[in-house]
Amino acid sequence: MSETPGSTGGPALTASEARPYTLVAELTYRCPLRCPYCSNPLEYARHSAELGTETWLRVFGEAEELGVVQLNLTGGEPLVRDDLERLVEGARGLDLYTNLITSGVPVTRERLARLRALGLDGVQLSIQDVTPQASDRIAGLRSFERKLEVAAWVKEVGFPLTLNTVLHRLNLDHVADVIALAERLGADRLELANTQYLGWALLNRRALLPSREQLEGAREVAAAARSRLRGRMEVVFVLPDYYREFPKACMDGWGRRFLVIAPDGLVMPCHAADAIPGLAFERARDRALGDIWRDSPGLNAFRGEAWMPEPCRSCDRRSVDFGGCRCQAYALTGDAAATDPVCRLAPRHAVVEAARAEADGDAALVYRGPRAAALRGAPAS
Amino acid sequence: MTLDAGSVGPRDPRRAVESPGSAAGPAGPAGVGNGGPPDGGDGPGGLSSTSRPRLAAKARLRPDRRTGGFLLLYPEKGLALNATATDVVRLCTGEQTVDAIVETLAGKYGAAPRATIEAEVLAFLGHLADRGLLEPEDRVP
Repeated sequence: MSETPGSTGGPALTASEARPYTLVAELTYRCPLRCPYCSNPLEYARHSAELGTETWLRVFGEAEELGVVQLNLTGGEPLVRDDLERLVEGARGLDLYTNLITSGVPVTRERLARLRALGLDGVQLSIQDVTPQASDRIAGLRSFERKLEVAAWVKEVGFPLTLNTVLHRLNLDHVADVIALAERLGADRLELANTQYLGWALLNRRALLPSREQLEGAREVAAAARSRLRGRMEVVFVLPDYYREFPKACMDGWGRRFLVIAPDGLVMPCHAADAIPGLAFERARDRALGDIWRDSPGLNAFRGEAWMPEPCRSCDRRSVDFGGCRCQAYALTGDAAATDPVCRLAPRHAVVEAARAEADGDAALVYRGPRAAALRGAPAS
Repeated sequence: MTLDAGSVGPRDPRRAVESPGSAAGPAGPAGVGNGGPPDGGDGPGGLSSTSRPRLAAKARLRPDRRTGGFLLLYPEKGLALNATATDVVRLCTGEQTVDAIVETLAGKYGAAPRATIEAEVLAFLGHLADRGLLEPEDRVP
């Protein structure tokens, strides 16, 4: 690539517009849970070796120099890395605000206290549903009771607690109970995030996509809780974009605010971009992160507006939603540069309408696991 | 004087979300620096001139190496603060009343009328309180 930043044909973003605030460090794809909407790639089991401690520490430093101030340690399950303590300590030394995003399964109270002492700032814990039976069914592992215990430890050792529940057809009717549980656990923040239908979730879309009625009901419950709890617990409700008129501002724009680094060091604009064929991403172990951020052909592919087709190119919303989600455009149309089909103005919007029509709560779930990788290429719509 | 607080730190990227690019996250930044409650009245978040606001333990102030300003960081998010807002945050120790904070700012930024400063400080503190960034026990006057 060119050695001149922003040279001709490069991104239409100025240096100040493309500034990463958040580094999402996917430390591993290993995880004890098998959620059928996992955001890891379908072929996660084929990925090569994980980055080592020293490389991650170098990457954190380079990220901070780029302007990153938030660090999400995630996976997979980041707690399976036995160097997590060193990574947290290094991040704290860089004054990064460090969040651990965890299933809560492989942790002790003692380890949480140690991570707190080393400077970890916050813990985000996933809860799949509100009863052991329903939660464990989605997790594919008996884990619910353990998670409640871990939530209590998180608060006891002094962390702010974020609870995260990924929403779908099988648990959307329980949102009031999720909120009550979060209050009981003393959560500072509750993320009610509707499933994004990519990767494993796309494979399970028939079973997971809710009805409009379910969604409206849950949204009202969440809105009421948000007002009632303002200042005590932040309630975030993320609409599924299959039921939105316009696309979401995915990642706040491609290669603009977020850096995601996969366990093997691949530097991406989001966790799923690797699924788009033909994009060249670079590895953090091969090159300085600042150079990758500036020059990576993959990161530059959809920066700015030059790549946009109509109707995006002349749309007033292009600076609001940045054209939506490229991974979704690819998954649903085969063309990563197409208008995000969830947009009602998209030429291929009919595929989203068809997906809504075929949703079926009785469809079987395909759990995350190495065997299911053979299903890659299953029809998207 | 305007206490600015644009949102910087988008949320968990994995389930992309409300668009943070526009100002300050879910509740919106509209109240910040745009008027406020009458003098001495309860502001947003139940604050008044006799409240002693204290920054929540989860919130951390750090310099922004790209702008030279300061960022107030909290779980998975952050606010970009201007110089005045940074001063206010630094004074949220739980020791000083809102009145005292306003006095300090009036001394430092003398141009604005005191009532204006107080209204803006209360509005900004309400903005912090709405996000759970002030310790709740200190929000009772």
